[in-house]
Amino acid sequence: MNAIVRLTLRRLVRGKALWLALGFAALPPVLAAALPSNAVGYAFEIEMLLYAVIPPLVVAGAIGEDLEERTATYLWSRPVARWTIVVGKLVALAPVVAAIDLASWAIAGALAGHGQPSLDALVAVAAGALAVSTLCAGIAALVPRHAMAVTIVYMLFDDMIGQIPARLQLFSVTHHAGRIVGIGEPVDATSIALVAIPAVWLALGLRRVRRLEV
Amino acid sequence: MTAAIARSGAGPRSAGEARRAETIAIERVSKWYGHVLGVSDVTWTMRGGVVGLLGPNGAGKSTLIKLIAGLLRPSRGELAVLGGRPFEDRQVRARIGYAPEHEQMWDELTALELVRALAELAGVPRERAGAAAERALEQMGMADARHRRVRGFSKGMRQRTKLASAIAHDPELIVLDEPLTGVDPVARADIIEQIRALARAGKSVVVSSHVLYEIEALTSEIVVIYRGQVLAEGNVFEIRRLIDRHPHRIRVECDRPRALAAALAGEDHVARIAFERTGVLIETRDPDRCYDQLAAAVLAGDIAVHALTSPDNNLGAVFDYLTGGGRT
Repeated sequence: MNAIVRLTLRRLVRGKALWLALGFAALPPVLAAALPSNAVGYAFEIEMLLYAVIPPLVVAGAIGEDLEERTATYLWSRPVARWTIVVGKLVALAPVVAAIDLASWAIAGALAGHGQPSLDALVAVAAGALAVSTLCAGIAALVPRHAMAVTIVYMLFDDMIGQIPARLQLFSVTHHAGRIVGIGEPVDATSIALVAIPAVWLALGLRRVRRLEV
Repeated sequence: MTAAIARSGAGPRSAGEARRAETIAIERVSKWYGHVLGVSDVTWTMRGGVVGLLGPNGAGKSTLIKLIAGLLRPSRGELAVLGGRPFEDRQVRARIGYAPEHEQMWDELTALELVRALAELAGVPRERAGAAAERALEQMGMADARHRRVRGFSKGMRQRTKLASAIAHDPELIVLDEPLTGVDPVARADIIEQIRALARAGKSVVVSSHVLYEIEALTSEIVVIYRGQVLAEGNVFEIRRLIDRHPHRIRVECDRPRALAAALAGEDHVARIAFERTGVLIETRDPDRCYDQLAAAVLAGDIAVHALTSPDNNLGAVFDYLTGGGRT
């Protein structure tokens, strides 16, 4: 597992995905600084939208590209359990995604004049990022080919159903993440849903990857 | 004509004992990709040394190699590598070194980083992985380029890096899928020598190729695969003799085809001569002699030759001959 984590981080630092993610993460702070104070809420809406872009870009991309470019043959011919490859990449990349989202959120908040974000809010943003990363890892393992595109579409759909004022929004991870960050009313089941929905996707993905051939 | 060459090896003592003694034991293995057949009902045993898997593109060599490396699971039949099932058994995969056919690698890494990471994943402790990777790269003639990123590597350098990654963890069985593809002649000779050195060091090596002379340079033991089936196995010279026994076609485009045909018509190795619009098609049972006599006839008769080709110069055509499918 450690070897996979190190390999994944080294590839991330050398690759394009990290820089693209940082570019997207810079949008909310830029908007928070540029928009008039009564429109600054848009910056935070975009912050939620980053959940739909950065984890697919970083996490799903890393899992999917090995299968798409056939480099998975190097990993899967090694004596490692196939699930550890997916989990190792998730362990390496989810904290990076969380850190990027946190930094973007905190900087945007400071530039909008909201002052220091509360510890609760920071924990909530990080938890949301980790949840979405886990979900993306599961979907990427389930649909490795074009994993990034599929997860972006899924997350945009997730964001869309999260805004529908109906029970359907309970299936939206971004909806739950938004609630605990402070967008909308908190609900008791939010924390559980934020764990349960990604866990189901990850479990499905790992089950699939166990039998996948390359 | 199938399985023309006698299968090698003594009869097994008992099924279990025999399986343990065998490096690779494949029994009636088939692999489908949906409705597409990869290999069909393959039975083959390897006890060690270097074995060449020979067959034209699409014959099923890569499927067989991937089954051996544990990347694919047989749809039917039994496959044991070093006494275990490679797809399910991680301990077996730890004892296998695999280099794929494709060129894709993690281009953002240096050769040393890549080989070291793969050695670690293969079970080499982190503190020893760097030295193991250095040693493997040096063995494959990549010492000078080890700190360069793979992105800028030529085809030959990628092949060498792949080979280094296959041997860095000191496996017992090394499985190489088309390791000489795209390699220049100097590098080719070097890689062939390295593979032979691995065999001399006691490693078992399986090498696939669609080029007969590449396999001949590596080993005399070959398995011929065609259309997903083992067509023949045994000594390469037997295969060569079998191929040579069948007529080989030479097409000569020239200004005086009748004069050329007259010069060769009486020769015992010439099976048939057919006139074409721009020249003559000769079928011979002894290509080397035929080429010599062609050259002599062209010089003696002052014949202007525009082109000289052999429609049989690909393995697929030769295998069609062997199976009787290509006779027209």
